[in-house]
Parts: sequence; C-alpha cells; structure tokens
Amino acid sequence: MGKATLQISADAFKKINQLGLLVGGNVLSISSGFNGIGIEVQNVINTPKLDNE
Amino acid sequence: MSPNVLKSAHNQASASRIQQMGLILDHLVEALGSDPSCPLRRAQILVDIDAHPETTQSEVMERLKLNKSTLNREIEWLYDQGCILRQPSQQDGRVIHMLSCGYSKKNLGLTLDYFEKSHKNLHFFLERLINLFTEQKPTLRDAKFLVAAADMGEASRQELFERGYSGAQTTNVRALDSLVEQGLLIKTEDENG
Repeated sequence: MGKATLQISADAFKKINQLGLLVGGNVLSISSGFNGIGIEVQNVINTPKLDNE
Repeated sequence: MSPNVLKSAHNQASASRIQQMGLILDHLVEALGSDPSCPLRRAQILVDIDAHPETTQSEVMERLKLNKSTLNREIEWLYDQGCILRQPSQQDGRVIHMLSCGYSKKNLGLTLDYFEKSHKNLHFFLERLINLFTEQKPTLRDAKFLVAAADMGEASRQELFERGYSGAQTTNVRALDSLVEQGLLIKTEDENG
C-alpha cells in the first residue's frame, strides 16, 4: 500500500492563487462579484494603491 | 515568540506569493498572542480596530456585521491578551474607545507591509480567506495548512505538520481532518499505491 498523501483541491488552489494577487501591492481594484472575487492587477512598477489609508 | 520561526519582512522579496501568504499568517499569529488557534475572524476584528483608532464596539459591529455577543467575546479576548487598549470617552463615560497596541500593533504593521499598508486590502484578504472554508470558525492554523498545501502540491501529513504551527498532535490532526471533510484537501496515494 502506498504512502497516503494530501493535496489541495483544484477549486481551493484556484482561490488561494486569486488571493495571492492581493499580496505584494499591485492591486488596482477589487470587486466582490456574485461568483467570487474580481481583482484587477497591474504588472508594472509603481502601481497605484487601492486606497489612501 | 512562537517556536515556529517568524519570517521577517526581509524574506518577503524572495518568497512566492503563496509563501508570502504563509508569512502573513505568521505575523497575524504573532499579533494575536502567538496563538494559531485564533479564529481568522478575530484577526479581522483586530485589523479593523487598527484601521480605525479610537473606534467603538458598535462601530466595529456595524462595519463587520457581527452580532453583539460574538464581538463582546472577541473584544474581551483581545483586551485580556494585551492586543488592544480601552479608554472611556471624555464626552460620554459609557462609550469606550479601542486602540491596537504593543506587540499586536507592531506585528500588524509587518503584516500590512505585504499590502502596501492598506488595511482595506488586508481586510479583504481575510474576508476571502474566511469564505474559503465551509466550517464556521476557521483558524489561523487551518489557513496555514491550506496555504502550505497550495505551496507544496502533494504532501504527507507529516510534511504538512512541519510547515504548520506547533501544537498538540491531536489539534493538528483534527485541523487536517477538518480540511479534508470540507473538501479543501483531498486524500491521495503516491505512485507506489
């Protein structure tokens, strides 16, 4: 019998990856839609912040 | 300081985004008295208080849409652990203002480094993280296991335990079992199985 292992589900992995987009500060906007998360990002340096806190 | 080595912000640049999420959780654990069993919701309450210095319990309740008894319990915990200060209002002694303080404020500052100091983005991150789970009170420990699993791909329980927070073996086993029950982790067998 092989060694039992665990693996993240595909759906959870996708959602974790989406959350990763929030990390690091290149977020332009965030929207919370009916079917999850919408995050617009910009892949350039000196991207603007989401808010001015 | 927890036995789990806290990564400093210096590691931020060299870590992948998923690994950075693990570091964020580490800082939140430190902000919450080095207790990985804290619910993610408690972290969110602390973040909200930090974002709104001198806020009141009613304001937090309104912003986070929490019921009074839940919030009372969490605020008491945060106060008892020295995460927040409570000060009576000078205008109305019945009103209590709250402030994050000490080690909590310091570690929240490190957490916010990952969000360009935006409390709003950190709040949103925690909200979406909480919504990933189907159980009612996911903890920082649960989140750390999930993030570790995302980073590692296929892993044995022991490997995940090593990436998670220290604690009683039964606590860690229960946490992983719960993630399996929620369908977030899937049991597999390696190629020899």
